Amino acid sequence: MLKDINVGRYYPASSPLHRADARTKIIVSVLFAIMVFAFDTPAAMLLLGIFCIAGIAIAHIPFGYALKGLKPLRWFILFTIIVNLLFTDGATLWQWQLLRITDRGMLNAVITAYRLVLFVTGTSVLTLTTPPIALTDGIARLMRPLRRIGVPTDDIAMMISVTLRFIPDFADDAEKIMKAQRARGGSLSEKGLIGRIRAVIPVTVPLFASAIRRSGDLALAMDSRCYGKGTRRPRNKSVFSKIDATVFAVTGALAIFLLIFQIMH
Amino acid sequence: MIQITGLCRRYGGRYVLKNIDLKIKAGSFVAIVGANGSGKSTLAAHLNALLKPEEGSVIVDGMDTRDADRLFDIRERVGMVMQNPDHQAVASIVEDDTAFAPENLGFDETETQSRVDRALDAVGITHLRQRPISTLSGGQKQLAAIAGIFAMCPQYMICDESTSMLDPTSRRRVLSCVKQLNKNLGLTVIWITHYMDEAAQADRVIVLDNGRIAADDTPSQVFNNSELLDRCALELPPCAALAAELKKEGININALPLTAEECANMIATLTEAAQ
Repeated sequence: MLKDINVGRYYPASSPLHRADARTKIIVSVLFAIMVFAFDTPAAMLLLGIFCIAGIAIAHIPFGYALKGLKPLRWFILFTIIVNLLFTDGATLWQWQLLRITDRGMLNAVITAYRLVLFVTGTSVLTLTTPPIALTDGIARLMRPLRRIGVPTDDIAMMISVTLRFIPDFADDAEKIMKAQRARGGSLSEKGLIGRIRAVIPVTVPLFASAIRRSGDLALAMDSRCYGKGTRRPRNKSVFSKIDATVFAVTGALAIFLLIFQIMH
Repeated sequence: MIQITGLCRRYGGRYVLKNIDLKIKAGSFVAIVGANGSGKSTLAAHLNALLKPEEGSVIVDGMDTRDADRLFDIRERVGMVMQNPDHQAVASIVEDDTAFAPENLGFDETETQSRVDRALDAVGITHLRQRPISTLSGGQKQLAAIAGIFAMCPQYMICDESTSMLDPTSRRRVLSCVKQLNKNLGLTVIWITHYMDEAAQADRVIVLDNGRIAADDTPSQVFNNSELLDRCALELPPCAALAAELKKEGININALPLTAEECANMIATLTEAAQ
């Protein structure tokens, strides 16, 4: 299940979105995330869904692959659906003792689940189409103005990039540890809170140990390759192209349209 | 040349390196062997200034590793490939990862690209340049790590048990690649290993035992010293082990063969003598 995590995985392909500047994709992803949570009309939701699907299609990412990232979040999504369904006020549609489903609860549950799906799938397009080094470069260049007030922007960008790059590896490690614990008769599905905590410890402790070892090795590898010399000049200094202009124009138009639509309704 | 004088290092009050005196000449292929905990990796980390000497000194081509101003010059000159092929890549694409060091060194795009091309070509993985590192085999990942170091154009390359997590075919391929870099391009190789058949292919073998140098000699001298091997818990390379068994059976063998070629020659000589 954990190996299905898409965040941080790069999907190599030759698509316009892969060629777009990392800065464009970062800004558009942030804008997309804001739009997903700011606009709540059905029309806005529909348009954002179409926008997300179009992005995946243009990036030449198989839909199955893009949606795979949702699998580890299915219980969280289910939880938010249940909470919204049962604890939102409105006109009662069904009631059994203290449990009550309302019309607004139904709507909220659907919208929240839909938003989470859109948010995860849409933002994973950023990492699926951008190699970590390009992502680092993009973040560093976007944060460059902060250098003037002494913020170590390059280091922060490298930390973000390395974190994203290692999420799938940690997921793989967790998967291996869980299999190893199961192979030795360990149960990961104990009942009760204490039981569950007890079941999780044999996974989290080796996972932490593995993460510390891995990050120690990576730090040594980076030191060995002269990271921190202060003269870093990344290759492929991407420049804004027609693709970036198009992506900005489409996203901007969508944002303005949805804003006006939201104000009018 | 790397010159180590009186190097000492302690962990928790216990010496892991004690009074190490060593000279490594440019262009040589030096193997460092020893049991776990003998100090091999600690010694390696001193060679490119990942660790600073507590006592003694490490001088790399005239630069003292304690001199903070020369830190990056030393690391540029002495590259290090580590054990785990999954823990070294910074980027996710082979070419991007190879470019990481030249980018850190501040070369312009043309120079960085030229170094990347040269490194990938020298290591023989040009065809993998656009591949995600996660899709490579262990051996290919280790070759990519070597390319990442070689792109700095180092004078010395430390391989710290770089074949220990690989299958036999990948192991041979990685060793063969490093030997080619040593032979054709004059790269000095410091090869740390637990595999004696790999150590037997070096120009010189240094045996570490409890943080001290137990032997520093040619492979032939080291592997014909059974008392040394027993004391340091080392085994013979497979070919030498075969010859040692034959010797026990009373067959007259003067020097143990260390490579398959030497072993074949020995068997041919013995067969001729028997006829």
